[in-house]
Amino acid sequence: MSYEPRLADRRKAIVEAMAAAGLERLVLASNGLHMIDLPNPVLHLTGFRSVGPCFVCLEADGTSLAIAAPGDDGERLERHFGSGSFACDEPAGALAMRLAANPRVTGTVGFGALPHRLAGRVQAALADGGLAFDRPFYSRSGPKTAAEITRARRATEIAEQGYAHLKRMARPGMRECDLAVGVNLFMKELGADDCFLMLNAGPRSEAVMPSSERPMERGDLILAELSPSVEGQFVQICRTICLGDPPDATRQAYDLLVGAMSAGIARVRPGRKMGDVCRAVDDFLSEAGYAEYSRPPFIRRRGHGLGGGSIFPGDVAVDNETILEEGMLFIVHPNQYLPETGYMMCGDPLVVGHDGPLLLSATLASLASATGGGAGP
Amino acid sequence: MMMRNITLPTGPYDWHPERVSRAVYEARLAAFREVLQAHGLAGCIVSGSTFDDGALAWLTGFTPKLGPAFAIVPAAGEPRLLFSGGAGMRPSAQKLTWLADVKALRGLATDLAELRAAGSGAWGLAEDAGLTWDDRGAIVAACGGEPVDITPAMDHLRRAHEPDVLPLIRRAGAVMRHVETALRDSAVAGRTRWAMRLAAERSAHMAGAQDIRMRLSRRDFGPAEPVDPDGVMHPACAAVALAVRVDNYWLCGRTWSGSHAPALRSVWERFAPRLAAGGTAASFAQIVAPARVEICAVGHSLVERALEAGEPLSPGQCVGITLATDAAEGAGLSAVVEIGTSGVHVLWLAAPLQPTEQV
Repeated sequence: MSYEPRLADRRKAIVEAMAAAGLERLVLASNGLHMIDLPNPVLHLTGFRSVGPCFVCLEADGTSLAIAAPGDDGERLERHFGSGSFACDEPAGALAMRLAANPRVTGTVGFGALPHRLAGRVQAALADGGLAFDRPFYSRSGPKTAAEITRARRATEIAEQGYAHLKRMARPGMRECDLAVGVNLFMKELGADDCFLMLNAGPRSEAVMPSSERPMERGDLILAELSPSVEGQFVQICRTICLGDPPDATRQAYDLLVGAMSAGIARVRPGRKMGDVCRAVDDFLSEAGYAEYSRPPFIRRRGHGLGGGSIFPGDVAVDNETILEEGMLFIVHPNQYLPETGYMMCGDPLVVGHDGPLLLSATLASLASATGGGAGP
Repeated sequence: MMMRNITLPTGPYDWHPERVSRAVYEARLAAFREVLQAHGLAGCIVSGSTFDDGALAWLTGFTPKLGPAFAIVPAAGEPRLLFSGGAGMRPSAQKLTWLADVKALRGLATDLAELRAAGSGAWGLAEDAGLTWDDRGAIVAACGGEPVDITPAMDHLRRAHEPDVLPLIRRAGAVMRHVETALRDSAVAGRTRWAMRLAAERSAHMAGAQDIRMRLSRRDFGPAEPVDPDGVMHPACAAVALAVRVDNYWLCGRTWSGSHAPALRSVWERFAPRLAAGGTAASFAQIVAPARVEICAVGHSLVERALEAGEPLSPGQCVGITLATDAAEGAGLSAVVEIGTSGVHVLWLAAPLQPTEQV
């Protein structure tokens, strides 16, 4: 892949966007949470994963300074940002004092996700609370860097190995949560630093949901979205496993989802709208007679961008007008409730390549069965 | 103790009446409503988030997994629980709580619109620190004005543990000991920080924990840091910050294996016999000086608020105690104790991961 953007390129693009908007300073706020579906501007711009709330001031000349909590994290902060950056237990107060002492035309990113007291404290030090700059910040830096794509590839390998482990572990009588914990630990042993693993089972589920303590039974369909993170970059694969042999009707229905996913993926290309990808999935299912199940309340989106830093290009949804660019990362998942089977999951991540999609999974989703032999956690 | 979040809790969180009975929760609700009545409130919104779900978990048993959740508690009538997630996820959410009325959040403003119809008068709000500006704004609008802050009064209620739940906290203490043993075994074996974390995590879950968080120092000195897979290998992690959650109770503390460990241990040995009901953080400070003592309630929050300097310990209370010194960055020794009528029971006392001479 010749396309190899770096964090420095991202910073340059954002500084240019600041200049175009007349901003002299940008204040990025991270609430300290690292989630697959929520953006974290500090991680996106700098690669730093804070423990608690963290602010980064990016000046028009491209220099930056970070202030983060907790107060005992200063050594790590200085290692990452260099001297001048510091940790304290009240970073919002420390930042507010600095901003008030040196007023500039300022934009803000990430304040909508901050606890209200922190946001209020900092915004009170800014003229008019600062200009919300979230949309330009992420849209001007939508593609992942080469390093992030490398991490996404590694995370996908881990997800696929986690999935194989899940099939080995699953057995009747095992609690959903024990399976989820075991798969998570396995993926961490492979190098995942966290994992968003939604996993539930049942003869007929209405949705995927967090694991409960329900013991699984033979004939259950296990729904799993395995979403490990490597160095802060999440990916996701969506899978369905029958605990035992799946009925023919389930196989046929799942083939439909695989077809829908393929239709969506085939639409991915630089210059196309994200909404077109969703439409391809919906059209495929509608033509198979499932039009009413291809809209709310059954379906809201057919995939999404993948955090931790930026979740751009956003949801695979019909109303997403975002133009796809080379290097963007997202998952296409026609996860779907069907009247014959209940909810099933089918999805794989991809990077937008120069000529089309670059799939990250070695093996795309297909309906699997677990024999119930079990394996150690 | 601030720890990096996990993106989705996956451990065992379902409500089990045989562990925390409906009667315990009903008594908590009744006590909470007495507080509302004393404040002349028509009801209260109890908020829980990834930042802190302690108040919500104490009252409802519910742990928010996918985003904020709220208990809407009118002065009379059935409380309602609103959770983040799709309506199809209700079966999973319902299992987490003793409350019967459980609904997916559609939008806070929409969901709270009926508040004012539910009862005229002022409303309260408990645990708003994790709320975003927009969510808090929606609550203020729904309440028809700034809600009364019930958080301090609720904190006070949460500090008294019912006799029925003390065995759960003792069990959490046993899990802490179990995890510390796993960490120690890994450290002695010369494993990496990442391998140490995994060993601890596995042992915690095997022992029945719902969640575990930790920070380890990356060298043989210095503060505890988040554990990353690419963390520098060093078997002698001097500073460890550790937290486990069992049956919705968080226990946390830190230990230090550096050269100040023996001194801290001797402070503890001088201090422990003087620990008793009626003592206060202020009185204990004189005993441990020049070391410092920090005392926090044990409860449903990862970061419980520290006891006031003059607030006396009382029987039935469980507290986390950390002895710290400024002599070395991150140096500290923690214990979790249950206060009895005639002494204290140590549920967990941190021990160095490595003998001092090896560090």
